[in-house]
Amino acid sequence: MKDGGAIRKIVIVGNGLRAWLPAAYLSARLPKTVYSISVVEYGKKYDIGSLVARPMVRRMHQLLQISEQELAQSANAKLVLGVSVPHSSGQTITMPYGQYGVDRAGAEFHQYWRRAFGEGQAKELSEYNLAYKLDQAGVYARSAPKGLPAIDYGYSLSQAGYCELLKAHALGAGVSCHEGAAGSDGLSCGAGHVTRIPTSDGNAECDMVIDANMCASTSTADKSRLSGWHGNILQLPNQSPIPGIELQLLIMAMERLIGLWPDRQFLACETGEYNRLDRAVRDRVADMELLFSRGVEEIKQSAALARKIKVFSRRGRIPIEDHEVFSKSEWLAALIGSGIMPVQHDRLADRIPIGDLSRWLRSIDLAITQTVERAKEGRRVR
Amino acid sequence: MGDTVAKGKKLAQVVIVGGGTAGWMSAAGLSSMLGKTGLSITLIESKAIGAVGVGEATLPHIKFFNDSIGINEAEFMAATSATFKLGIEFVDWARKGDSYIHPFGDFGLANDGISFHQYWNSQKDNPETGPLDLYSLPVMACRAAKFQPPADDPRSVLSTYRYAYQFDALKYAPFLRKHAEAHGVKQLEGKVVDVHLDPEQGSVQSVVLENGDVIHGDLFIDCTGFFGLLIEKALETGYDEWTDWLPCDRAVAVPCQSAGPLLPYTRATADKAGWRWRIPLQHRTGNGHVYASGFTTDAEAERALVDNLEGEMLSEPRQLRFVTGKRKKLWNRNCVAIGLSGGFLEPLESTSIYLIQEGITKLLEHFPQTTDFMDDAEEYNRLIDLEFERVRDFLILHYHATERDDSDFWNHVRTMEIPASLAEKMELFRARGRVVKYDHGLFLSPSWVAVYLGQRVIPSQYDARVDLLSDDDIAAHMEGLRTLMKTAASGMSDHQTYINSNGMAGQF
Repeated sequence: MKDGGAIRKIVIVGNGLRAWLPAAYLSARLPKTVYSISVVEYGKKYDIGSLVARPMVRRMHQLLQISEQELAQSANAKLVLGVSVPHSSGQTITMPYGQYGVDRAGAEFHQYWRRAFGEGQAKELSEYNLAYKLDQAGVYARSAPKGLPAIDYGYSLSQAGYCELLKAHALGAGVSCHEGAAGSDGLSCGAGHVTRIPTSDGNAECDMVIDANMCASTSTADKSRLSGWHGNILQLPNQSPIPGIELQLLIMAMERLIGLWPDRQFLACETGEYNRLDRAVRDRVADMELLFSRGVEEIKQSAALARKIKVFSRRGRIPIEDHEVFSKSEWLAALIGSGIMPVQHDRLADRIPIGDLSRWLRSIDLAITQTVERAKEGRRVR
Repeated sequence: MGDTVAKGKKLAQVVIVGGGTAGWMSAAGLSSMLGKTGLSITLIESKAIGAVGVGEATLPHIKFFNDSIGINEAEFMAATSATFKLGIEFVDWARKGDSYIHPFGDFGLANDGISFHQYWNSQKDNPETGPLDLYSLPVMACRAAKFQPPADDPRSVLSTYRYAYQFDALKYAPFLRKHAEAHGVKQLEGKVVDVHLDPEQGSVQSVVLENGDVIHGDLFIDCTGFFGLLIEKALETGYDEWTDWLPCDRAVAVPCQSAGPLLPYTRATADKAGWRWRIPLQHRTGNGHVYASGFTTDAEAERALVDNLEGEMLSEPRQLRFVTGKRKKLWNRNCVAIGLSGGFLEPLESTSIYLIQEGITKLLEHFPQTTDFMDDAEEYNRLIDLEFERVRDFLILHYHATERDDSDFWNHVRTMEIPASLAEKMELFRARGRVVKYDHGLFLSPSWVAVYLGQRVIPSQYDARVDLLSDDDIAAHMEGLRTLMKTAASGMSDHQTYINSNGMAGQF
């Protein structure tokens, strides 16, 4: 912008992956010739153990030019085809990234499956999910057999290694790193507008702050720590018990910020649009968390989730809201896994004679089994 | 209801009342998708009741509908005297003398995650930049009367647009009838004189024809147009009026002889108290004038239409009356209203047939197995309401974002209060050209950008990251794009020439 109101200095306050992922992302979008990005390290590092990166993370790796080889070397990356999450019932539900079977003639696969299952002509639904079957066998495949949808995959990563990798990318792109000042948490001023962040050797000046620390608990009066974008402070979204979601929300937050890249006026209509999308996305995640953590009876507090359950239990249709985070396959796995079985199937699934339907299901089952077998062979050879 | 086991009896009988575009599209769509599931479909129509069909302009979605019921494109084109359509031209909307095209495709190329219009906005004061038109292949093709189907190769600029049709709606219904009957739809000729309701549940039990025949059904589809014979006259569903925001309530239509090259787009020209449409067909041009009776007279509106015809009038002008809005429930009890019986939004963005298609698609998606379907209706209505409201906001934008102050009508729409959902969208765009995002709804970002900028809603700033490139670099990129679009458009086939060998009437 040529009016002098442009943002030039961005400071990220926090530590570990929550700080270095935004730093790496922004440094790829905001070149160091114009923008100064600093990380001031404050707060606790949560980078232990491994973390899951959902399929969408590949989009960011493309932007940052991070290769799979690099991921394997630095972060011990392994392919992940879905995640397993404990449900309040005591069971563990696996939500595969890949689709179930294949949709056919304007109707979803699980509709055909529901019909055949009802007539004793089909195995359990998960048997028709290639990603699930590969995962169960502990093997991977990159390509699906002919006629089945492509395999969607993410990664399991060493958290510390991945953080170091992103940090190296960020530093390479010109991000500077400072230690926080002792006895401060960086944002103690609490005002709506922050112009400098104390460091161990002085201050880091900023036009905009990204607060990568966890949202403070509700007991604090520090309103600047509310999730979302207020004034020149953008508070990153919190953790989620569902593996991969925290990372996805961080990336989505950065994509959204760049999509609404502001100037120093921080217009309310722009921060408001960010917050609207942020809230919508968090609501969709909260719906899934609620489905896992509560019994079906306690779910009414979310209208969207109550509707998903009601409509699904009727005839297997999954209502998709604006700004969903989880795929239809994941919702399907979660709903069926929670013990909700559609009473009926979609009428569109009645178009095929049951004999043909049953043969078709067997052919999908066979194609999946063969792919899994071949993947096992491949592992033995290696 | 229906928590653990299926209730009600198997839904076996569908009765469609009304045989216009909505009726036969419903019959063709339902029979081709569900004909094999033990569903019997009857359509009742009366020769005594005319269809509203005036030349119809459509959106690209119609191709999917036609494809899904197995229609051959050239055969369809020939049967309905159809032409191809790459967009809609808006003349005199923001100011008299203005013209912009809302194309079926995006503008320019995005770069580094920044939409093209941000670059355009940064360079708009440079005389070389020119209008946004120059950066859209479908717009350039419209201006040059060119058409050919999009290329398959996604790397080619010739793959970056979609297309729709402009056709004679009175011929579309009979064409669909052949397909519907081939899939087992039974047609009954006769006027419905009475509707019997179930005394306990209040749902439609049967309809009675003039000859005394009683036609029973499990599910009724009301395609009786504005009249709403079942949904309103019998079931008294109620109607939400949106006339405060969209005050046009009448139209007068007349076909005329065509003049000039065959254009691959529909034109909407703003008038003193509404707007005039021009829809080019193979053999004639469809014209109409949508107007607000509170701001002009019928005679004056007709004169504005007739005075602006490009060729000889081919019949007497016909008048239509409507109330913009939608039925409170498009699916009420066992009756689904599809077409004008469900609601009316003026055809400024060619949404009439799209809304019929959405009604059918969503009905198929929620089609009941049994006669216990209150939950299906609830979900159907939620989705359809959302669709109507999002189209509504987009239409209001065309009127409200204007500088015109040359009539009471324009003064009214320019200064009226608009829905908060639209006001927020406009504020965000005005600030820096950002488009409010959502997943559901017909019109996506490129459409909003085309209409905002066409209506002179110019963002006061642009994305600061645009300045990462120098003005010279941006100018060079933009010049490259102009050349790319211009060259691609000039290499396209002439619209008339393409139709001559692909779907000319009389070929089949």
